[in-house]
Amino acid sequence: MKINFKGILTLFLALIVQLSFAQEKTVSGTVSDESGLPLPGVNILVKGTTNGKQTDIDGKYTIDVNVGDVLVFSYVSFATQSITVGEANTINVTLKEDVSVLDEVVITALGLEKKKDDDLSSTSIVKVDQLKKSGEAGVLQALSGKTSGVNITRNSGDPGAGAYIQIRGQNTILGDSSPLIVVDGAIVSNNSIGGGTGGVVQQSRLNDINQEDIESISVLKGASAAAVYGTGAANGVIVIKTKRGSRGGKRWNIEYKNSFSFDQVNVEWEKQGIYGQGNGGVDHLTGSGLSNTGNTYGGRIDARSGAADVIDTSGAYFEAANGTLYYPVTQRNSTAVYNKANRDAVFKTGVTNENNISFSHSGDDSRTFVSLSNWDQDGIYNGASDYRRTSVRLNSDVDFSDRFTLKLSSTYIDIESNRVQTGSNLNGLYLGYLRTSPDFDIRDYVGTHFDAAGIPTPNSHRGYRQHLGSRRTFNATDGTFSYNSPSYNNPLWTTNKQKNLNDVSRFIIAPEANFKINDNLLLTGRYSMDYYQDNRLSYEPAGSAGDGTNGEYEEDRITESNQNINLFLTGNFDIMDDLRMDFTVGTQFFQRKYKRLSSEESNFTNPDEIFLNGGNAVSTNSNFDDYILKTRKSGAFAVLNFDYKNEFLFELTARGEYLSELPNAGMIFYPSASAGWNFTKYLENSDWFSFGKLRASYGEVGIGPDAYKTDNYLTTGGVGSGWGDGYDGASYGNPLTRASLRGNPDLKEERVKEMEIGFDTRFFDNRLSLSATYYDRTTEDALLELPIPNSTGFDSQVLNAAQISNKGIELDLSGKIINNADLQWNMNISYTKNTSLVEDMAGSAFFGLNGFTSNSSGVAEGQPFGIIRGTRYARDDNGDYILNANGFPTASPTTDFISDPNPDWRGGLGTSVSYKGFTLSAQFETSQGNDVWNGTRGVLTHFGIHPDTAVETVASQDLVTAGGDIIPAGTTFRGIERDFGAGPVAINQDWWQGNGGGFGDVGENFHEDASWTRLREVSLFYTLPRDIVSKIGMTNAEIGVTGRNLVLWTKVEGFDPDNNLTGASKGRGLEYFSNPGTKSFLTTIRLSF
Amino acid sequence: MKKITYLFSFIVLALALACESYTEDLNTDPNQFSSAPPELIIGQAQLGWMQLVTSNNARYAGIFMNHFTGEDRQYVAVNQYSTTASDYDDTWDDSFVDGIAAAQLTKQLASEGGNTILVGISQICEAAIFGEMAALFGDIPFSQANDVENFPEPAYDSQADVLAGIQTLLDQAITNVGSADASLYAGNRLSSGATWAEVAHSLKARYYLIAKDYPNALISARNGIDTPEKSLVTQHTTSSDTENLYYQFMVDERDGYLGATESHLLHLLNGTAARVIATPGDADRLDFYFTPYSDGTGHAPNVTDTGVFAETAPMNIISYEEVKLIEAEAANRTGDAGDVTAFNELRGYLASQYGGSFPDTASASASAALLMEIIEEKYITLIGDLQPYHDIRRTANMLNVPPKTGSVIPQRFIYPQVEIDANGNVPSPLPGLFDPTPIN
Repeated sequence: MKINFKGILTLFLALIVQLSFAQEKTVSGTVSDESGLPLPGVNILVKGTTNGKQTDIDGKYTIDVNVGDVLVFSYVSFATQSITVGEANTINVTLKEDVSVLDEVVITALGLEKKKDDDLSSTSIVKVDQLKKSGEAGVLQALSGKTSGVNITRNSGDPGAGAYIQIRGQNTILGDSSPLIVVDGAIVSNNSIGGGTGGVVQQSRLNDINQEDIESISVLKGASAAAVYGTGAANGVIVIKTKRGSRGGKRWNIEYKNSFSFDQVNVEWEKQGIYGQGNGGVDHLTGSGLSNTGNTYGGRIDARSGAADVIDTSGAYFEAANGTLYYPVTQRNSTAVYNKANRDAVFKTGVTNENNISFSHSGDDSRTFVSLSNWDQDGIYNGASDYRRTSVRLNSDVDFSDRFTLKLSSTYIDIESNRVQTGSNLNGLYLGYLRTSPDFDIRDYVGTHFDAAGIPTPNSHRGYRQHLGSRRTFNATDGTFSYNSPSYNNPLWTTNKQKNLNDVSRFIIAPEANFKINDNLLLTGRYSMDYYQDNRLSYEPAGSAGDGTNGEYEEDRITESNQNINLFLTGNFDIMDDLRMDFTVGTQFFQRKYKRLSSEESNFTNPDEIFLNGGNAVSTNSNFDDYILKTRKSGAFAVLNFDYKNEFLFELTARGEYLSELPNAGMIFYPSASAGWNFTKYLENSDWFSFGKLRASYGEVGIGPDAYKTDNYLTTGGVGSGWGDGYDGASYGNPLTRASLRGNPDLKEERVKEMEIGFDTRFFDNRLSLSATYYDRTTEDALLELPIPNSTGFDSQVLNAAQISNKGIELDLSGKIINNADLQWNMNISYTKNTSLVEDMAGSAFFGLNGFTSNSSGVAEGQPFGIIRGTRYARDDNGDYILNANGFPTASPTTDFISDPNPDWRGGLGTSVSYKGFTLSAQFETSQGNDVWNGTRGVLTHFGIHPDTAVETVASQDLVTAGGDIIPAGTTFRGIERDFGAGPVAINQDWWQGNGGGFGDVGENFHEDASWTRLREVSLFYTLPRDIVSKIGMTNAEIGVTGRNLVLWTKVEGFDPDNNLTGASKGRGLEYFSNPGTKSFLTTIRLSF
Repeated sequence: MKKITYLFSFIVLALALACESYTEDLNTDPNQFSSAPPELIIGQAQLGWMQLVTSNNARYAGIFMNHFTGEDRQYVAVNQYSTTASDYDDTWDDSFVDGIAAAQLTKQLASEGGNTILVGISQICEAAIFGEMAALFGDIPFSQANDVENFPEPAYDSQADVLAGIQTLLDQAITNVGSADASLYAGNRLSSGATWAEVAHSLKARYYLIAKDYPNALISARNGIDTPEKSLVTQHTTSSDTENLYYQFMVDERDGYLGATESHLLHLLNGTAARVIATPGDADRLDFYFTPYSDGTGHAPNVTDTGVFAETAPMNIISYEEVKLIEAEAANRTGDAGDVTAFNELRGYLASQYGGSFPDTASASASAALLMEIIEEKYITLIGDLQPYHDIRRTANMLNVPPKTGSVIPQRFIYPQVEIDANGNVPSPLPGLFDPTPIN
């Protein structure tokens, strides 16, 4: 690959530097910037000679050259441009501001700029222009595939959905796995509260930040780069700088962006449409027990007569909102299949409209940036699924004197969103939608049920398991209504009748003062406050499935604040000739406060009205719960940088701190050291080598425990089973009980120790860059809620007991394959390989991170982080199935590790071609070797919905079913023949509903390789020629179209493996009726004045 | 030099500022309590006990012994006698972490405070949970349980030792509770017209019976609950998570999982299978126990307002019916003539309860025929209860209850994944579902 690349480059170089006849002449022209302003002082050099000139105050130049000479135009902070002299005597040049790696700047953990070439860590910079073309709603999603070492997994395609971010491997079992986020010096929350196997898709708080405000993003992957933050920086640091008014240039700049996005579901499940609702080949008719069967094992739909269904009009019936009457069916005759109609009733094309406007002003001693942004997204479901984000930003810089500057960064964000229930949840959209039998039409989902006595149930919920809708009875004794529900929600009830609102108000304000003590000593003081309130509301009208059977209303008020004070001194001095020292010393105080007040009411006293407030239930059904937390950290740090002859570079970082969560741990100290060798000068004469640096570092950072884990407590009681039934403590005298988690007064921090080596190189006039990093990081004393035997009276104990290692390689290659005035072709490739291993678990077999009892992602000694544990079929020593009397495999009585959700490697490939004003770019991304537990497939098999169950076989001999029934030879049955080792048996409903399906004891056959490759985005942008836009008073105008997530190559069916059921939690590789991913088509307009 | 002075004075300042006091005294959890009186903790022990005997264990046992039928999703596999270790995690958590831990903490605090009656009540709860766990699982941690400081991986005591140990506990409890009514410290959780001592004697009878110590079972039963009003039962309301657990499971949580289609209990009541003692009143009992599906394809346990598992129907923790039948069986097996009397007394009570005919036995005292009638009556009467499941295993299925599949009814509950994972003392090799517990 590399060799080919070189070959291509050489070829193009040869074409550019072609020979021509020497012919002396004088060339003149004007050099200007992209906005048309003339640039004085630009260096112009005839390549290979000492012949050079500079432009004058008006940007004009004159130079004597030969035809065929190459003129090299170079200017600080602008990209160097080479032009071959041809026939023309006038060469006007427009220099572009430098976006190349040449003077690339990284932002250190403290938010200070540093030349990439001097950086000794593996910090990478994300190109913001790439981010902006991604068409993603959130910063997190937009980061995917942009740099090595960063893994982004989406929660789902729902509007406002958050994402999981992991830099390098997972380092912690109990601690926060999100990197530390620093925006303009403020430590901000990237919380994603919630995220289990059910509920709604949660947001990630980093996505609150308006992408258009972002100037640059640096991803600090290594421990040494992050070391200045100590505890909390173990998962890396993402440092974001937002735009500010710039010094010099135009006084006023106005930028406007508008984007329309059209979103659709990107992968869908296929449902069989051959067999109807029923059991054992018999159509299910009037309904048994409390509701109609959930199974789709009825007769063939196409074998029915096609006449009208025979109905019983003597008793109960349902009147839909549109007047259609539904009676119990006593004979199914209709051959209608509603899979398509039901699908179309659920999905639509979602539309997003984004508007952004920003003003920046550059004054003599002040700079101002103001932006207003609105993102208005309507999701892909018919019903309430949306996300509206409005934000305003004010960044201001004022120079009070030569020595004293005040900077203010502030933003306010307002988000309102309607969310949709997902996952393992009887109200989940997909759970009800996918399980619905193909011969049931979901569209009349609400109406009035009349019982046999004619008593109505208004707002009755009709689903495939309750053809006549939910019915209520009035309990005269306690004065409440009791409903029966359709077991699973009709998906249209989920999207239209249930409400899951959230409303976030957030401000981040970060003033900073800089005082220049003398020319090389600067004192910086920073304060930041990140505060948000996330108000969540959930309303399930009576008649809903699950806990909302008699109505349920929940309100959650979450507030979080993060306050940070940073005071530091930076400076430099020359210790001796050629040895320069830069230093930063400072102190930090950090405080986090969190409060969550939750109230819940069930069994509505008045269920007939949508009432989004408390007070609609008797007091025993009205509960509230509260959680408060306050933690603090204080620390001091010093960073020393030594530079010897610009060749040898050293960096030492030390941090000492105290954590409120660890009252007995004393002062925690983190050292780190880095060294670099810039060997460019030894290859200066090479025509292919431009830059080279070797670097190595060692660093330590930490992760603190959750608060309040150092003592034992008593907590309020109550018991419940995994099936949902139980005794509510508060209703039974509110007894107290010892908390099942055993505290540990001797806790200390989790410590990540990392060794990293790597190199940064550039070739062919800086046109090809290659960086590589190898890292080896180990988390020692990782905290574990070590499961201890229940017979000790506890469930678990917090201990510093585990050890986790992550080793990996990160490669970033980028090249400008073609780079001339009209045509540019760039390409970048990233490769990441991380191997995680849980090395020690203190003897504990398994700790579940998230998932189900049957299939759960967790940690276990000797296994990669996040391994999925489940049950296999019992096998003998030869690996053969242990069969039961009927000849079917049996479940192994204990669980086993089945699949690894971590990819073997990930890669990204981005390319862009610009010709004149057009830019075509594409981004491919791949993840290989990641496994998933596909619970949805298992359950659809159980219910007879999966196409694999819609097969018929003629029995070749008498066949036994898993239930012990005999299918005589020659009989056609729904299913297949299979030999597990004791002769052929019949795989049919009995097996699929037993250990051959998703509700059986065995999970192993639903674990799959979920490797994927996708065209993450492809876009075409056109920048209007400058002479046209300047005529209408603009400085720039750009239009473009983007396709996001248009093509996916994967072996898994039905869902996008880039989504994860349990959201941003550490449990990975789980799929269970998760809301789907999306693909989008966008149009973008950008105008600058 | 001036610069270096600046630098170091700043470092000193920084370190001084970063002092420990900023972070001190913030780590006491404001969301939980640090202490509580034992009167408040006994409630949790009782909820753990209630959960153990009325939640999933009772449903699994009901399917195993063919009272009920697992009809949907995971319960389909249970109906095929397929279960795995993790299915029993809840049971151990309810019993040891909720039940035993709270009972023993109550005992300790009550003892420190001199509340002897409460010590006795907590001992009853503790003994009942240990006893039931030993009956279901065989060997379990007992002497080393709930003492994490000394026994981080508690050893397993033999089933016989546990059953003997709880008799001692119950004897102590009887002394401690004196004549206290069983309503004392029962809150709105449990209800009984008995004294705690009568409850303790009844439990002694039950676990003597399980240990096949029939003479002692007889003595204890005769000191135990002797009228229907004295049954120790759970209390329920219509509020969320206070309803009858069968109702919660079948109506609120897992619609369709638990049925009774073609179950042996149904067959005994509807005449499909003959009873050893003809009982016309079973027709009435059938309606109380089961409801037919409207399309006639099966039956479900009755969760309607008039059903055995109605929303607010109490569940038995230990009942008059059970104690009377223990007395009858123990008498029968020890040659005590009271067997006929006890059995007929119970039959008479059933007749009054259902308004149907429950004829007296025609079999002789101490006869094998009467024993069959007693065991069968217990199988039928104690619907939703774990005890008939112990009887089937103890009597080597003398009633010939047909298994759901294969030829054997599961002989035990299997050890949970949580213990297998974390306790090196868990019995090895792990017994399977069809391996009898030691006493059987």
